[in-house]
Amino acid sequence: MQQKLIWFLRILIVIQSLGYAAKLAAPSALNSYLLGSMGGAFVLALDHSVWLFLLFASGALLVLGFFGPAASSVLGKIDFAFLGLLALWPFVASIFSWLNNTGDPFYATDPIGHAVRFAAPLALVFLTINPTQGCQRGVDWLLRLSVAGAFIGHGLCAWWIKPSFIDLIVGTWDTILGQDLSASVSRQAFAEALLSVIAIQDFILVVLLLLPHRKIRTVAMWMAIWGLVTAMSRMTAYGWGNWHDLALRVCNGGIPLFLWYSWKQPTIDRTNS
Amino acid sequence: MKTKALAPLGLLIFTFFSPVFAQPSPWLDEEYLEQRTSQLTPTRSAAPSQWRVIWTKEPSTRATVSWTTGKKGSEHRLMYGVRSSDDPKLTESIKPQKNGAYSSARGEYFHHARLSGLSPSTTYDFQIESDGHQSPLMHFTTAPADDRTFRVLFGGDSRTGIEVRAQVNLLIADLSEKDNQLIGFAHGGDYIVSGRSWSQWSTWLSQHELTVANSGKVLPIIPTRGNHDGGPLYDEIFDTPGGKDKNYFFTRLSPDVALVTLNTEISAGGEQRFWLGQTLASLRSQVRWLLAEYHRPAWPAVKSPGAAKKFWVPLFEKFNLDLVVESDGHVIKRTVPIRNEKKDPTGIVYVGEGGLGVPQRKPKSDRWYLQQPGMTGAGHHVMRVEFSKTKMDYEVILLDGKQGDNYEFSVR
Ligand SMILES: [Fe+2]
Repeated sequence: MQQKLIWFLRILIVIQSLGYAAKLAAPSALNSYLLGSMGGAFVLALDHSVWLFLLFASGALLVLGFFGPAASSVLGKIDFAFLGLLALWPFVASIFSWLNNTGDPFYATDPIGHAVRFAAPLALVFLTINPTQGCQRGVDWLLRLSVAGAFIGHGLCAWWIKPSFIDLIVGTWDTILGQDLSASVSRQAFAEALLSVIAIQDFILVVLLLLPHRKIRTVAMWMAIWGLVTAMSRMTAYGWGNWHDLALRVCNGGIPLFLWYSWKQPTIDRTNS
Repeated sequence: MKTKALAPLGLLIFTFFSPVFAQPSPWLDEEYLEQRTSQLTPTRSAAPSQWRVIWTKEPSTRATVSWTTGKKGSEHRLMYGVRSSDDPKLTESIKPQKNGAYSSARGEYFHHARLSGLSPSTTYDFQIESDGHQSPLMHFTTAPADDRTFRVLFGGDSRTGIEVRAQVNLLIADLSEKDNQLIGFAHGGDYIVSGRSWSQWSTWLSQHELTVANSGKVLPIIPTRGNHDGGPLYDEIFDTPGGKDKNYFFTRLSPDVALVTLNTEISAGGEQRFWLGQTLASLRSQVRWLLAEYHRPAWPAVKSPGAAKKFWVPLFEKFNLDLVVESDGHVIKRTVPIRNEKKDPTGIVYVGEGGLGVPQRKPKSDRWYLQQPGMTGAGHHVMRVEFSKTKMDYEVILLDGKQGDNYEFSVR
């Protein structure tokens, strides 16, 4: 696999991790889960430690990328350890987000909806340890499944008309067309209708992405653009101060873009046929 | 002979000093707490339990008295009457207009008796009867229709820390008992952890009995939906306050005081924003004190701002709200007056944010809007607001009854 593609993946993980670090200005899901049993001081210290780690690991990931240490070397192992932990945090956050809100269908989608965020660092580990064709094929499927997870998770939330999604659309409209109190009702109605269409689109894209023996680059590019547009909506609705909401979702569009690039020529996956 | 003669004197001395010896906050004592919580009415029988009085739109003339029975039952009624003397006359009787099984419960039923045509500032005795079993005799007072001084409690987040929740409830009962001018209690949401869990709600409801004062005085509750209160049980428990899928409304606490309750768990920027704009525009010219309450903060002391900041704050500023109450953060906070994202003496003060039992967090006190004259702190608490002609007094009351914060607002 091309080195620049590997670098692209590494940079996506760094941006995502910085987004997660900035997000820790508010209590993490793990913090909320442990608050009752461990107390306010402990969970605050926990979040602070994770924040420090995310910042440090993001910097270290860039430096280690430049050195490109051998997989078996000490630095190589440190690189893997960082990547593993950077995969662990989004995973932990999604699990506890769900556990904190048991019974809430929207939060229940988090573990699959956030899959791409923890699959990306794992993919980089696998590609570095074992850059063979066979491993690349495995990683390709890991990433496809995780992107499918993100689109299924978000598609379900759109289908069930998640209130915060309505407000992302209404807020973006407000940003583009200006706040208009009298238009709030029609903007909500429009958003609700649009969310159903978005959900159907998400599910169709998932089916096309997972077709065996087919790698449709248009689908990957569409998902890349859509993933980035929806991640951007946090900023278009609520302002540029919410950059971290885009950063931690960068893989939603970044990983489909990775797939698009890695699928360069063939629309038929000859390795599988 | 001598000791006998001294006995009346001893009794006199004891009576005089007994308030000094009595524990001022007995709920802090574990044994007392255990004894009180063990006396809650069982819910699995045909007898009424988990009583509450609910206020939404017109508390001076309307109230809903709600309760639970462990079985469907056949004969349910609410007897009530104006309290005239110590001898209660329950002259009126109505059947609950709405009855049904609580979702995912084990056969428990809810009953809502909606009272209307009540007289303002009037105390009503009431007693619930289900299949011949009667509740204790209780009473509540309707909201005023004149400009008299009164007080309301605010507080949110009772979802975890169940023992502390019971303690706060006993504190509320104590405040209520001592204060005839205290008429209601606005809960800011996050009653329980999982809104779809009947067993959690059932515990909350049973513990709500602890807010009833020893005299039988019940503080009507004005409910707000929090992020943990999803699912159908909320509407079944509070009689769908503000309408299905809405749960936003305004409460005219008096001709001069209005409280707008908003729902942060549905779209903030759509229909609800339009309604808010219309409602504030009409209320502002009518009332002296205009307040709003909702769960997820626009100006958080711990988390990041919710959609309220973008969609509602401009309206709060346009219509010069007098106080906004938020929950969700598990701290104590009072912001500086805010307008246009800046400290501004004409701005709006936001208070909160949740201490009815939940473990407290450390507030992010370095945020600009929490600096002096604002404040932050931590501790289980309720907030009490007094509305009068010339000023509005806000104070935080901690679990031990001590004051955690206070602030005086003048008329705009
Ligand atoms: Fe909350």
